[in-house]
Amino acid sequence: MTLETVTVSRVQGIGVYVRGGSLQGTDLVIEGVGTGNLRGPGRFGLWAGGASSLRISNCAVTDIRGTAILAVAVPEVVIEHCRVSKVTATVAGGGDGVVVAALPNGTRSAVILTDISVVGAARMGIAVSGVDANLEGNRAGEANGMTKDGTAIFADAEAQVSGTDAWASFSREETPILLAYSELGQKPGNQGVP
Amino acid sequence: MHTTTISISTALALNLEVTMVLGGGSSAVDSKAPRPPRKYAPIMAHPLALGSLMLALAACGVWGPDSNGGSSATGETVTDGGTTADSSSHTVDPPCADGTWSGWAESDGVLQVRVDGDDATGDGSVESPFATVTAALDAVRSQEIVQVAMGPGTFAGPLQLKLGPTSAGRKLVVSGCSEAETIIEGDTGKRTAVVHVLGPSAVTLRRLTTRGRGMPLVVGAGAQAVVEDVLVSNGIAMGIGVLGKGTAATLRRVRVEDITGWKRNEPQGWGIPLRMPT
Repeated sequence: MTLETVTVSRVQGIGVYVRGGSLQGTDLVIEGVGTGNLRGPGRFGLWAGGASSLRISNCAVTDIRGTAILAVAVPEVVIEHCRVSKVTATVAGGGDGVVVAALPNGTRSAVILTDISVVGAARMGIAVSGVDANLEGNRAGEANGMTKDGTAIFADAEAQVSGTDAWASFSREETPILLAYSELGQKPGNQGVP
Repeated sequence: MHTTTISISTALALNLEVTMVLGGGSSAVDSKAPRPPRKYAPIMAHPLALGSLMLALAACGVWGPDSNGGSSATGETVTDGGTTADSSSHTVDPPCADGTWSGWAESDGVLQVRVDGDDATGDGSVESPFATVTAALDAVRSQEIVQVAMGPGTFAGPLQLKLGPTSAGRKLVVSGCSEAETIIEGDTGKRTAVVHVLGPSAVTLRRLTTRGRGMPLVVGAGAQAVVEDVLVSNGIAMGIGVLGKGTAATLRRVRVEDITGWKRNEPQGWGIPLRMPT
């Protein structure tokens, strides 16, 4: 599926949902998603799971309750030139900006995240786990954890990170955090399949 | 000087058999290549057709030679004292605010659908449009490319877009005037699409709004859809669903707004779900 100059606004559950197939999107705006009640399955601006590829360029994702962008078990992920803001958590969790993760069965992904800005995510700004990730020129900050300190950027040991600016305005900590632990045991939030 | 402009609506109001002298109104639907706009210039160019129209109008006292004996009707405007007639005034005006035939500069080769059309008597011409897209598609035979122009107004869903059992390899283009002018609306419930593109059709849907208490737009298994300049709003369950094996969709300049779950407090409700068997 190809999306060119597409706006998704005021959606109760998931803005763009991709299960199987592939998605290529340019000039994508997702705003006001997760407007239903706070309970129940996760809600996302963009959810991609089990797809063959996800390529997003030039996007704005804002005012999301849940997770702004989540890709799980997608072999090829390229997200570039995206602005994410105002991501809040639900009762079930979430509050993350951009999360790319592999499934526990070992499915791995080649991930490129370039020029992504996440401001105001409730838990984590950018998180990659279990994937071969290359992060370059990304910025994240003002992550305010609801039950624990927020994390601007989380990357496990398999990620290559360069040119990344992380800053934070945490409720309990004033230091920007760039985590690069594989054994941290901290899961990127809300990666369940809806 | 009093000026009288003869328009097609005037002629129709006078029960003139205008279509008779047009050489058949339904031929346009069989045309593939673009042709000049359907105007009445051909009537003027054909002496017999021109004579028929003149006689008919004269019989009704609407038009005739002026007092000076002049009888040219090929001028710009028919006047009581003169004989100029504007050939461009002998047209059915394009229905859209931008002056197009639902995006097409010309009407020929395009099946016309209007809210005030008639499925029983319509033939898809500009003079005799259909009332529904379904009737227009029923009239389609074997054209490789089928073009349907929806005029302004609100049309009732559900609408199924398919070219029939021989649709493979053919293309259907359904175009409205604009998001604001052409609306397809339906209260179809959570299991029925307001507009459903059925495989194996290749369908382009553009310049309109689809909305209602149902799934506003679903591209079904095996269908190929291009959606351009479309607003999808006020749906339940999903906005634009691309569902099933072999389905492909390209969305350009599309807005999806106000999509809710199908139950009260139901947290789901998807804007654009793409679900393919893996």
